[in-house]
Amino acid sequence: MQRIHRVVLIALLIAIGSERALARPLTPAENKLKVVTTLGVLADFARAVGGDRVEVEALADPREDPHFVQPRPTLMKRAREADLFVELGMGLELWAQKVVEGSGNPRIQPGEPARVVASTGVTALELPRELSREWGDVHPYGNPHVWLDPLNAKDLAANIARGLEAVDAPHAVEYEANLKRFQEQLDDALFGADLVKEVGGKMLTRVARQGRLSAWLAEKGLTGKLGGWLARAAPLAGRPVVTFHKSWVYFAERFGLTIPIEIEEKPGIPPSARRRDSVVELMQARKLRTVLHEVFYATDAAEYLAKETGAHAVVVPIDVGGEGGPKDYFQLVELWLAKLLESESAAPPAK
Amino acid sequence: MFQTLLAASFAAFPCAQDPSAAPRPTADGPARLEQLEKRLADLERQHSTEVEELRAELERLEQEAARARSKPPPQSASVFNPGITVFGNFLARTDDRPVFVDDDPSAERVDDRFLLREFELDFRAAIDPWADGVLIAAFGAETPGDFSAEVEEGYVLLKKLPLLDTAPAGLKLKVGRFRPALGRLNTIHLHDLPQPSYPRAVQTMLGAEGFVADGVAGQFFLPSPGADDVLEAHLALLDGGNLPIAGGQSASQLGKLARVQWFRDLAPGKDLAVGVSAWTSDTDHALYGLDATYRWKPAVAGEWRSFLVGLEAFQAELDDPALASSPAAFDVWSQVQLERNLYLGGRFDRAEDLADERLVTHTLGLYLTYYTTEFLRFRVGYEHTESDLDHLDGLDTGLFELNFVYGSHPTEPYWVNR
Repeated sequence: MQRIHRVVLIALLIAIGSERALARPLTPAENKLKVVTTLGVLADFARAVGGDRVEVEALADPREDPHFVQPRPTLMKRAREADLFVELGMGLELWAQKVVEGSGNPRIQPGEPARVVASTGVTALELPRELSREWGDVHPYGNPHVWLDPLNAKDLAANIARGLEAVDAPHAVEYEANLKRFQEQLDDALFGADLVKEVGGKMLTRVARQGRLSAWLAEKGLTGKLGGWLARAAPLAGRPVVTFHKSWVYFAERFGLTIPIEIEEKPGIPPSARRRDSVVELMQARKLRTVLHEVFYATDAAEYLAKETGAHAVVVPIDVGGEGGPKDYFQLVELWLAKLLESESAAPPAK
Repeated sequence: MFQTLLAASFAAFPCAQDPSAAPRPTADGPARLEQLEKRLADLERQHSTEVEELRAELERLEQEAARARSKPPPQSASVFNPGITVFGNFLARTDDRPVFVDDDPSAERVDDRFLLREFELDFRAAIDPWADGVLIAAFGAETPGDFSAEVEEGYVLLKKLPLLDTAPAGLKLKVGRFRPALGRLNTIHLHDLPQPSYPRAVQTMLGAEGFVADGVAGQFFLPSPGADDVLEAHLALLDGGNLPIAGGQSASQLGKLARVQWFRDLAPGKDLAVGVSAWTSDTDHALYGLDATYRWKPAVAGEWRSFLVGLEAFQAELDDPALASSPAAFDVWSQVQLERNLYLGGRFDRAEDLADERLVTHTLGLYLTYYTTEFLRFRVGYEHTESDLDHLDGLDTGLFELNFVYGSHPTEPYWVNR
């Protein structure tokens, strides 16, 4: 029994000693709340809402598939000191729970106020009617790529603000003000500042969510006043594009694109040669110009389609950060629109 | 209503209360007035359209609420049931000579067989805000149809320590029956291995199915210099039995295990883990382990390309005249991802016999693995063995393995990503 006591004592001493050694004096930068997010976009929203009061770090490499990030010990170490942990949820980052478990940080365990699921309350598309692996890598809570719609970005930021307020109540007013400013910037960017000034961002958001923005603007005689991303994306309305994975449904809905087919036969299932041929047939029949493709997937299939049909493979990131990548969410949406407009305005495929 | 609000706003305007405080007219007064009028008109328009829209929205929501009230609640108490997952593993083998259970010529033959080797039932759920519970029941067979059931793992994982706001050094405690962190591959279940079986080094030193023990284990961080380095320690107190090198030991004799692992992100997509482990018991037996794993998986197209190489070595110190004094064993293995679903792997094992360390067995294996998805895996392999033990020397074996997973187990990355 004495040996047990000795071993337990040594273990405790090591643990406490390690903790002391790791606990350095705080510098001004370290007095900030440490926010750890799974994705770069969430980090960007947290910076916008937290302002100078937060120090934010994203765990995933923005060039990496957010479904399959390796839950490495280095990520666990970063999460260990988090005051707030933000994940998107909806089953996108299954690795996040492993990181949290490995971190040994009790503050960010599920159900704690410092654990934020940013997609809470966001209306999901593609909720499966039947849950079966026969449908591939289906997400039980619906398609999780919600941040590709700027209107959802406002909700994600709001949930992050709720989390910051929960762990830092004395500065709640500041977070609310930052959130309001960020949401207004998003409204201006999406609808154009003049229209927002005239009608109000809330009203436009509500009507856009109901899918009747164009009709409503026409009814009110405001069609010509639409600006921002939606005005820029007007030439894309109704244009069909091919995508690799079902990542773009929210983006397509907001900007009026249609996605007649994905290269993947089912989510997460690589395309067979027969599948690729059927995509080629459809693209040729409908003279499709664009294959929209995330940067983290191998581009073989997209390049094959481009070669066979004369369409353009538009390979873009869907996250913020990284060397040479978009610095913030605004740049990310700008990039998507610029690349799509460039591809769609090019000459139609000759084949 | 808007007019009333407007009137109230003007009434509240300071000028109305104290005319002397009113600003004196300036040259830009008319322009300012015009601006204000325009702003007022904008606000009026915004307000009326909002009211109109809100009325419509209210009507829609009332209808929606009425519909929702007529439906039963979507969840029941069954949502608190644990997540259940089933793992199945089937193996077919062909050999050029008789092969016996545990390589013991007096045991039953297992060559040239189809064998449903294992079924695992995995139950897990949060117990309360402090702990998660895991129970993994395994049904295994060494010869066709001869199943035996055991609890492979059953433990409580304490995520938060009662009465403490923070966990010292990120301490996590595991209490129950589990696979102790003795080496790298021992913590991995059979169905997740990058080869069809545990390496001969693991089988010789830790047991045919690896080392499983009852006890208490703690894992915590040690100070490490930079953001790219992590030092972790595992300490465990275990019951003494269930390890081949401790064959004569009573389960009541305490086993102690310590492991320190250094992990480093070498560059984006490249990392290295090196671990040292030591196990001792109340008898004078001891087992030491060294392991290293290098992984490459690029961010871009990382689901299509990856490379792993690993090494694991063990040295035992045995204080038993019936056993060798310091037998050793090691294995080196690698796996290259050829495309999204196809992996080529190899393994070389060398193990000294626990009874006589001069008797050495080497095995070289090559494996080709194809995943339809992460839930279904086909693997073919070839193994050649050379040994100082006559019944193993020159043995050639062909293997076919089928592994499947179904249940609540989420979509998991492939082994290389775990």
